Formats: sequence, structure tokens, C-alpha cells
Amino acid sequence: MWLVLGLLVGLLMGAFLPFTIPAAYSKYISVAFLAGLDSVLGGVRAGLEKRFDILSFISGFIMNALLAALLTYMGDRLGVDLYLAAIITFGVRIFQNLGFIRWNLMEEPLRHSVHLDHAKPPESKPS
Amino acid sequence: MNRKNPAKAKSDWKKSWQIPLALGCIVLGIMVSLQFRSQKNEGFPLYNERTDLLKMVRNLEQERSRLQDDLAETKKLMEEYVTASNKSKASMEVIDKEFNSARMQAGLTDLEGPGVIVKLNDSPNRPTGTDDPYYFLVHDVDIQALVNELWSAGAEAVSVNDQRLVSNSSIRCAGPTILVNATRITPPYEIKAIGPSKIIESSLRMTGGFMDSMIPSIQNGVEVKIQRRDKIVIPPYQGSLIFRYAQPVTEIEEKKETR
Repeated sequence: MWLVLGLLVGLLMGAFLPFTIPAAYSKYISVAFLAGLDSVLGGVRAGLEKRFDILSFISGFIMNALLAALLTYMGDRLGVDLYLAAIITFGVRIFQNLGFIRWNLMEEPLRHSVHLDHAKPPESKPS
Repeated sequence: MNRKNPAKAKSDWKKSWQIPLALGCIVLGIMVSLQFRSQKNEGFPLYNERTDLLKMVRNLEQERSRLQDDLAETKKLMEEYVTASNKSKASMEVIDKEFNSARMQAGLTDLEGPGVIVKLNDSPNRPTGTDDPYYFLVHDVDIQALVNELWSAGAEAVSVNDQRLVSNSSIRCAGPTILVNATRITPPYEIKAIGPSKIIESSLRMTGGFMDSMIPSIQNGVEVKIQRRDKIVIPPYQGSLIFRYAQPVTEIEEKKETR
């Protein structure tokens, strides 16, 4: 609920901000967006697994975005598409986190019904 | 996260992680819509500029053809005046002769005589791999070099695709086409020159001359053909020869300036 609301508020805010981003920086936006999405999905997963830590979420959010931006900048300078590394990493992690979230959402009711509250989710990637 | 949660204690940790994540989502949303708006605003600036330029070119070309019609009419009128005055006075004959020779020198009359026709055409092949695409097309500088060579070999009249070259003619590149006398011409190019055809041909084929400079292009399929003809007809100059800034210097003024 809160997440969807936040997304909508953000979209509206963005729509009424008085400036736009020059086309040259669209690479940075794409990388920053993926970093943010990765952090948020990681946060959701941690929350579902009851080990959410606000400090690690915020630091991860900022550090991921910064490192991705740095990679993109260096790639621009060197003429090598280093930002692809960030995109691939975040892309893979987004799908991984999504898998864990899906797994948690589906397993949780099941776990309660069979009194397995102490059971931990598996470490491996769910299929 | 609308999750069915029977345990009441769960709602406490739920709130604590959903709020910061919602803030993160706000940031994401801002990024998405900002980027979307930027994309929409920018559009294709190059494309827009191009269509504007194309429109401008078309308008100017229309205006040019209109002015050309005007000019032809005026010229006709002028000739009528000249013939009228000729009829009235036989003594005008000398002046008439001088006038005609001046017209010939200015490039305002059809001329015929022996000469050379040079045909240039872009290569039918496409550049592949490491080929330099420059050497697959005929460029303005090629035609400039050719015309220069023709004049220096003694050509008396030169035309490029029936555009007569006169004292203020220019040959320049305009995107995929070439402008001669501000008229767009397209390949194949046919350059006609009236003059000593043997001398002209041999000077074009001279070592280090025009043909040598075209070798890389010819190897890529660019067509360069030189033909000698006994009779070539070159059309007159179609544009205007009005001097707006330059004025003839009279002797008195010249003396003043040197003082």
C-alpha cells in the first residue's frame, strides 16, 4: 500500500517539477533508477523476511546509486560502456529479489497453517 | 503490501519498513516521470531542424524559378529594344557588334565549337568494411579541380550539367547534391568545354593531373569518361549578372584615390 502510494506521489512530483533532464544524462538516470529499484525490492524482501534495517537500506540506496553513477561517468570518460556492468548487476538482483518476495508471499500463509513459523527461507534462489 | 497477516504483533515491524521504502519509491517515481518528460520535450531536435531547412530550400527554389522567369522576360524586352534601335539606325552596326561580343564574353549566348565532354558519375558500389566512403562519390572539389584544369588548358566556355560557368559562378557542396550557380545538380555530371580538344584531353590525362587524382575513386567504381567532340553546344548563363556593390572606376576618381 505505502509503496504504491509513494510511487504515485513520486510520479506526480516528477510531473510537476520545473526542470527536465538533458538527454546526455539519460544513462545516469537509467542506472540510478535500477539502483533505486534494486534497493527498494531488496528492502521489501528484507521486510518480508523480518530482518529489515533502516540504516542498511538507506546506505545501500545511496551507495548503490553513487557507485553506479561513478561507473557510468568513468565509462563515459574511458569510452567503454562500463554502465552496462551496473545495469546487468542490478537487473539480475532485481529479478532475484523479486523471486524471494514472490516466494515469501506465497509461502507465508502456508507456513502459518502448518506451524512452521520458525522456518527460515532457503538461501538458494527459488525457482 | 497487502498481505493477510493473522498475527497482530506483525503489524509493528510492518510499518517500520514500509515507510522508508515508500520514500524510496517516491524517489523512483520522480526519476521515472522526469525522464519521461525529458524524453517527450526533447523529441528529435535534429529532425525538426532538418525539415525546417528543407522547407526553406524549397521556398527559395520556387522564388528562384520565379525570378528566372522575370529575368527571361526582361531580357526579351531588352533584345526588342536593341533590334528596334538597329532598324532605325544603320550606324548602330558597330555598336551592335561590340555589344554582341560583350554578350558572348559574359556568357549570355549559346556557343558552339569543338571541345571535350567529361562525364562523372557516383559509384554503383557501396562501401564495405574499411572502405572510405569518400571515394565512392563525385565531390564538389573534383568538379572544381576539373573545371580549373579545363580553363587552364584553354577552354573558352564551360558548363556543368548545362549550367554555364561565368565570372561569378561557384561550385559547392550542399549535402548529397552539388550547387552550381546556386542551382542544384545531381549525378551523372556532364561537364562540357569548348576549346582545343586535344590539348584539353592531354592536360586532363597528364601525370599528376585530374585523371591521376581520381584514381582511388575510379578503382571504387566512380565513372570518369573523357570524350572529344567536333561540335559541342553550350547554353547561355541563366542567372543575373547584376553588380550591386561593384562600380566601374572612372579615370578622374582613380586619380583622386592615388593622390
